[in-house]
Amino acid sequence: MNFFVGYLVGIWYAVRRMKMWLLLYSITLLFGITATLAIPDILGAGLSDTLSAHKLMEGFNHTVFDDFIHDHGQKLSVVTGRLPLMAFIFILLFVWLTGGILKTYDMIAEKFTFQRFWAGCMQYGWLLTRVFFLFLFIHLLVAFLVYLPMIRVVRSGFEALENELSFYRILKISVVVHLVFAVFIAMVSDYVKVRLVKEGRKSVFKELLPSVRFVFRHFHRTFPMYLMYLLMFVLVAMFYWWLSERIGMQTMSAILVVFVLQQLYIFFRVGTKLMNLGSICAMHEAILLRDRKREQPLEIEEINV
Amino acid sequence: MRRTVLWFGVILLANSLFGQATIADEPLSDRIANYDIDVILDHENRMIRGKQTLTWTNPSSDTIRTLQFHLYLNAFKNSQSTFLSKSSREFPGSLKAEDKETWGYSEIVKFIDQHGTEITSNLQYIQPDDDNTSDQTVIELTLDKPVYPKETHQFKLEFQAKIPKIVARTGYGRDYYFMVQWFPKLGVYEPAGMRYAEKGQWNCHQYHSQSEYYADFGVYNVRITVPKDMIVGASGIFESGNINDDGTRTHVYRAEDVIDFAWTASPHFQEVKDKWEHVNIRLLIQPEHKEHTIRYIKAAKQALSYFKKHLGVYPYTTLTIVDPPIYGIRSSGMEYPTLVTGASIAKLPNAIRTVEIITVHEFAHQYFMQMLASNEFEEPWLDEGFTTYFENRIMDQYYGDQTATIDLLGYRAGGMEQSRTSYTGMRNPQIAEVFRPAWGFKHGGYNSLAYHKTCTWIATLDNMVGREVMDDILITYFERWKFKHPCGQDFIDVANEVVSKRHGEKFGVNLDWFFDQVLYSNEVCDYKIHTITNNLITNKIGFFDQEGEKVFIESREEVEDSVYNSVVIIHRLGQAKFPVDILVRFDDGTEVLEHWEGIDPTYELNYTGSKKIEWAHLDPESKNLMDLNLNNNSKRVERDTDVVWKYTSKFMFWVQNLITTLTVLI
Ligand SMILES: [Zn+2]
Repeated sequence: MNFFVGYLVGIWYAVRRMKMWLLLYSITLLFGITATLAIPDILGAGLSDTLSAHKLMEGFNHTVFDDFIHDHGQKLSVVTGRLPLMAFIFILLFVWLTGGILKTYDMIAEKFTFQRFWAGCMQYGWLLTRVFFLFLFIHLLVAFLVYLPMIRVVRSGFEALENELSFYRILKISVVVHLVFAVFIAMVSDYVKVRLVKEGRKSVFKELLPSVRFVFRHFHRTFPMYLMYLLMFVLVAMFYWWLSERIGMQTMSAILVVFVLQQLYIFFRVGTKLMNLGSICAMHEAILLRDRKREQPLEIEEINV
Repeated sequence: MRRTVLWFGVILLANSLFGQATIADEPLSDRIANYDIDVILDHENRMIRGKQTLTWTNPSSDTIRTLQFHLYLNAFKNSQSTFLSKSSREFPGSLKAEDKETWGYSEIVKFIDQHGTEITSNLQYIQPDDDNTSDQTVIELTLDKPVYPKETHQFKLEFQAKIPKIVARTGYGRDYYFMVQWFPKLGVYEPAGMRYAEKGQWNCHQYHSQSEYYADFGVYNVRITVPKDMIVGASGIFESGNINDDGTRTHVYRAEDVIDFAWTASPHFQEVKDKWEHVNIRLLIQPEHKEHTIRYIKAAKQALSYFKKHLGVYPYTTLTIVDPPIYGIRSSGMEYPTLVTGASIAKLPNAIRTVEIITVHEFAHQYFMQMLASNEFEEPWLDEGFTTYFENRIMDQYYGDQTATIDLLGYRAGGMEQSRTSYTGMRNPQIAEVFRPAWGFKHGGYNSLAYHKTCTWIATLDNMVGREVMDDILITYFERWKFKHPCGQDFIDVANEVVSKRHGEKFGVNLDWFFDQVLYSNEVCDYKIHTITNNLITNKIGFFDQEGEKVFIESREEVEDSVYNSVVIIHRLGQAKFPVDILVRFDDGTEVLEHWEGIDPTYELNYTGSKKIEWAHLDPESKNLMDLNLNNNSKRVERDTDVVWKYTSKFMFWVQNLITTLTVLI
């Protein structure tokens, strides 16, 4: 299976499991609604009966916005202050849901049932939580090591640099290096998860090295497949931005249209995650199958010898 | 033909100005304090050594027995200076305890009076503002022989200074030098009746972390000797630059009718020359900031032409703009006679208009600081407030009143509105009144009040009296006080005079009620439309015969000839009182403009008739920018929830985006 086929199969997996896709999107929507619940009241108190509001309909208006924040900012910051906790809960929940996703993909040939999906969540939840925290630690460690020179430069008050252009160069290099590492770590983390689920392994640490080896050995497949998703994401995001800017949000009907667009975009973003996991499952299985086919005759030959 | 003659005239004028520091043939100022200085930069040891001749005229009818000088660089002499001991939070770690090269000082090593007598031993540090005896930023000299009224004396002195690393405004950063407040500078002797002086007195304040300067006008002839590879910029006009035998070069500058002299040197400057009418613009820019050249020059020209049109022509023949490197960034955004520092960093997007704002602001100081040489120690609002006001007028005119500060990815803000919200958005806009010395803002608010609150009330005054009258006030103030030392009361007097001439008693006997509130008190202003009600009043309550039937009509039911009692209740939430107009709109499309003096805590508008109120708008043209909340100045009876749903959906989308983005970590 080459990377492009892997990419297409991922999309196919996600589309075939539309119920699962809808479920995950609904959870995102639920979190969005919960976080936003207090917003209409806060906005309503400050903006629904003032004539200044129309200036915010035409676009951003610094005066109206700032006067509003000065009066109601406290209430808004209570809402935004809750977001980090909500985001953390969402991540933990999604980690558990990943168990269900992988279990579903592992049995892609069979009919989808929510029962199996939830069973997967429960079965792999703790295991995948351990994977998450391990890779979170690795991500943070790598980020710290990559950005350390930059942090030292900033702390030294730019003494070590010729001018800010040198700083930009360090920043650019750091970001590129970080991105390469981050993508690699993310790929390894995905293959660790797939190996744990598909092969029923229990030790996270034992799967680390084989996964690294797997990603490296099949880099020509795994990496371009990631890039395809990245490219798809960038294209869709650009298209969304372009379209929503064109429509604007100056009338109630335009607000409704853009709202639908926003939700379609979020639906797509949730889908991207599902497609990516689908591709990885498919790729892993295909390579494993091929390797086994190659290994079997060899074993026979050896016996013959 | 006319055009040819005009061009010929311009060329003639330009040629005739060659070598002149100002466009005037006569002195523009009284030239009380004149300096002749030879200064040598010792790059290796970060020192300057200078010889200075001060020619000073006693402007008063007093016999003067002492002189007072500023030694500003002593602010960086040790941690006990008033400047540093009161500003530890503002400059954390800039002066490193372990690195003596970061500290600096200044001292007068020899002082010879008019009669050739050395009186160095008569020098003594004084502290006119506080009891900090460790502060050495002011030195007093007791003269052996006094200076009699209107007499001119010549004093010769030698000084040396160790240049500090740039902490605030002045010093060095690597091989970049920005030399301001670098020589012993005489204070201002204020005769009785000048500004707030009740009797003749020296006005020579210590250097405080937030304060700027105050000095007399004069002529400066300065010879600056630096390593020959250094490019030099300075106040005034360049006269000559000769290489010396020791491999140094001496740059000779002359500045006339100015209150200060600044210079800069660096081997890295790239020089860009341009011209606007009679002004030679010289930009000294860092190579890594070259991309901003056009921005600097364009903004400078816009400011020059705006001031020419609205206040008065810039009378000097040079304008030098210095673009500091990142390691000299603390010298950026400062103003000195005919020389200003800009502020830029490489790759700064055009949509963030820092380069333009700083250039325009510092240029505006050539009027409010330099030509109108107010006491920046005692009345910082008088230069910073007016400067910010003009900065915003210029920026808003050329870059848009909603995009002059920033216009990036949908976020935008204009100049005047940004200034207003810098004041109205303060956590505590009542932290101090504007009328305070620079060091009087003990617990914050210096920037928001001296710059932005002042700018906001000047803009409010502008809206109140109209632009034409406002320009009349400003031009009168400028013409009357240029090349002098105005104080706040002088501006108030001009404003009262012009407004009563142009508007009679429309705003009262004078505008003192306005200045008392915005300048001398910390009161805030906030008017609010509290409620609007349309109550149905009808006599038809009970059973009525209609087409043979008995119909019961409730009081709340509307009938064709219903009558309403409509009431608008307004609250004054702040202590400040301003007269306000109120525009009321009815459901038949008619509008009525009401007026309220704004004195009582509440006010009510009452209407009875067949039409209902749709909305009411206090100060519908938003003239009173001092109002802390413009959103509550209007109220509609029927709520409009479009904007609520627009931003609710945006917020939700933003949250969903955030959490789905985080799934990359999973
Ligand atoms: Zn300023």
